[in-house]
Amino acid sequence: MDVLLNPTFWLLATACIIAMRAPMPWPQTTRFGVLSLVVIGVAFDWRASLLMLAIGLAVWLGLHRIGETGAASSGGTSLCLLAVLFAPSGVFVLYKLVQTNGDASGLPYMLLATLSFSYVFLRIIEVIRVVSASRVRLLRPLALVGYLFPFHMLISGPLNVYAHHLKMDDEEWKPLTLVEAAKGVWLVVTGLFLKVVLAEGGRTFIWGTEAIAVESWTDAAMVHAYVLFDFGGYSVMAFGLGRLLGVPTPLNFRRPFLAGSVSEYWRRWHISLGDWVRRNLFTPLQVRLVRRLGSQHAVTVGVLSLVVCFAGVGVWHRFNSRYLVWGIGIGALMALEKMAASVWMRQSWSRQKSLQWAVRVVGVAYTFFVMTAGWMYVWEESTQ
Amino acid sequence: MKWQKREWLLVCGIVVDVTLKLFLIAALIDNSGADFVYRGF
Amino acid sequence: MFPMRTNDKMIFEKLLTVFREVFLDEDLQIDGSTTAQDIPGWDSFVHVTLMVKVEETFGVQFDDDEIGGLADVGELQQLIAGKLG
Repeated sequence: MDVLLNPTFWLLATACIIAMRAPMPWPQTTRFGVLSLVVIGVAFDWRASLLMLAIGLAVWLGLHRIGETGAASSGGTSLCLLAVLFAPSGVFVLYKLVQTNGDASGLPYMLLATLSFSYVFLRIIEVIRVVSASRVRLLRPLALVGYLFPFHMLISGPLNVYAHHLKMDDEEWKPLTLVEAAKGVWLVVTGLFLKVVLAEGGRTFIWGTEAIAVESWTDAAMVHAYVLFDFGGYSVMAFGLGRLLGVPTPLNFRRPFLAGSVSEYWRRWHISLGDWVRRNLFTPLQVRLVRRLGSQHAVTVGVLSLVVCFAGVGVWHRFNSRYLVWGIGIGALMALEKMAASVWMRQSWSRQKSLQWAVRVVGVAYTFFVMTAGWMYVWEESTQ
Repeated sequence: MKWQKREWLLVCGIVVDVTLKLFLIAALIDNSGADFVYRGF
Repeated sequence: MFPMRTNDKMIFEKLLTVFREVFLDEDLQIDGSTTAQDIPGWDSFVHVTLMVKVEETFGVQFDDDEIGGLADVGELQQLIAGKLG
């Protein structure tokens, strides 16, 4: 049975809200880590809970060693950094290979899938980057488990920010007011409504209880809307639970079908993934390349960084050539849009309101068409 | 803390909205035959 | 607006020159509360170019989170002042 229809999950979630909101001497981050371990162990699988503890401890040990030995320049520290980076990367590659080609019924794969390891991997990368490169402190082991495996964000993200998670401990204790509680419950029920009524109700209305088939452009447009309500529904639920728990949980969708360009679409669809890419890939890569090559090459470097980053996003979804082509295509389109926008902004007539409005309307239609076509290209294979 | 009219309206609106949504959710769970798993590709 | 000290004024004037150069607008005006929303074309793509130009102009270096975490021009000005000591 899906976890959403499992009363144990909701009872545990309610108990967690009470435990997180109670005045206790334990730091919020550690408390949340322990609660996440319990919820996953009881509502999902106790072995998944053990695995998350093992992964969390391994990452913590590696990063703690780096912290102890000081700057990441000594030989031992560099080796440690490599180990803490390569071990999760190896597990991620194996996980994705099994997901794409192999037998997905093996226990290790099932446990990693229960923990949504694709998202966990991105969180590991963020914590490694932030702790090894900045002056940001490393969370305690159980608290780190809570950041890497937040139980309410486990099904499909969103991707929480390490620096925001840390701040939980610095905030003064405040009781949950009735208005805040009502808003949180409203978000959770609205998310459930999006998922059950709009996504699943719509799906069974269109395709019955048969599997979703993407055979025409209309199918793809409908699946696009289905995924928005499905994924968006889970994200709104996580957002609401996060507010009730007092755990920083980012917003993941903001009316993506109103986006006027592919670049804007990625600031509205799966927002936390776009932000993760910006923080951990795009900005660090672009900064280093521009510093090395000089700001006169900034445009070329920007285009290259966009294409590389979105190729990475494509492969992160699935290890197959279609997702790679999709990612490169999205990156290239965004780079083209950027160049077109800079030419457009330099024209004096581009400031006319009526023209801006017309471009907006055309942009919304173009974005929906291009993104649906893109998703169709990759979904065709996954739904066959 | 004394509640203002705005807060009362907000909470009452949320109660009505949540009740309606839960009613629709329950009706669909009973009748659709859907399995409600995540299919986010 | 609070009166600026000489050092702040020097930083602000140099920053204004960098902004005008990056956004190709000789009449561009900024102040402490200017954000990316206020300047057309200031997105993550251009932001890095802007920050590297600022680094070159002031002879300082920012880390990735400083580059990504700025809220407005005022914060950038404070960050530079902090680095210049």
